[in-house]
Amino acid sequence: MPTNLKPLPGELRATVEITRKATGLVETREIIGHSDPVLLAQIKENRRREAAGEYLDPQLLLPTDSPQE
Amino acid sequence: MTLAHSTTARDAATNAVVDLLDGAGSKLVFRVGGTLGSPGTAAATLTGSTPMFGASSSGTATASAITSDTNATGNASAVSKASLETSGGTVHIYCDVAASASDINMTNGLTVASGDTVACSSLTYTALSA
Repeated sequence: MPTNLKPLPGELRATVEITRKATGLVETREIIGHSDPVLLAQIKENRRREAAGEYLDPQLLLPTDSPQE
Repeated sequence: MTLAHSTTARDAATNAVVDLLDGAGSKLVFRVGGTLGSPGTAAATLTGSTPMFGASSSGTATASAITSDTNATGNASAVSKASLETSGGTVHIYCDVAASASDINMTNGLTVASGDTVACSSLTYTALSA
């Protein structure tokens, strides 16, 4: 049996709300977990660019991602 | 060469994984580092319903209500992993995570402080691509 199989392209998505004990403020985060490190790196890069208001390269978007209108 | 799966196959694969979390007390844990075989330190632990997920549809299973962690352990380091595991701590899914939000500061990532309340309003799992 081969033991070096590449992980299946599984994906975990969660919406998380954190209520800060110190301030009472609520922060919402979308969490994305991916078994493909290359795809996850692309997601992280798009998130960084999105947060910075930079141009999103359509080539790096996953089917479930959408650039801001 | 590309590889495609039927919806039936995708549902079967997803159900096979999430059914491992059907027992009472299955958990969603946000962690700092670690691996499947050696999970990192837990920053927040949330408890799923029984069963944790409903049946897969179009290859994706959606979790039922998840109980918040109202007194998170927290960690000074950012959350970098998430795990889905049984009440006994058997980890079935372990993944790197990226976080986003309108107010996100990616240099700090997702950090949970001690005593914070961590809730999860939506959780989905997809085993195979289409």
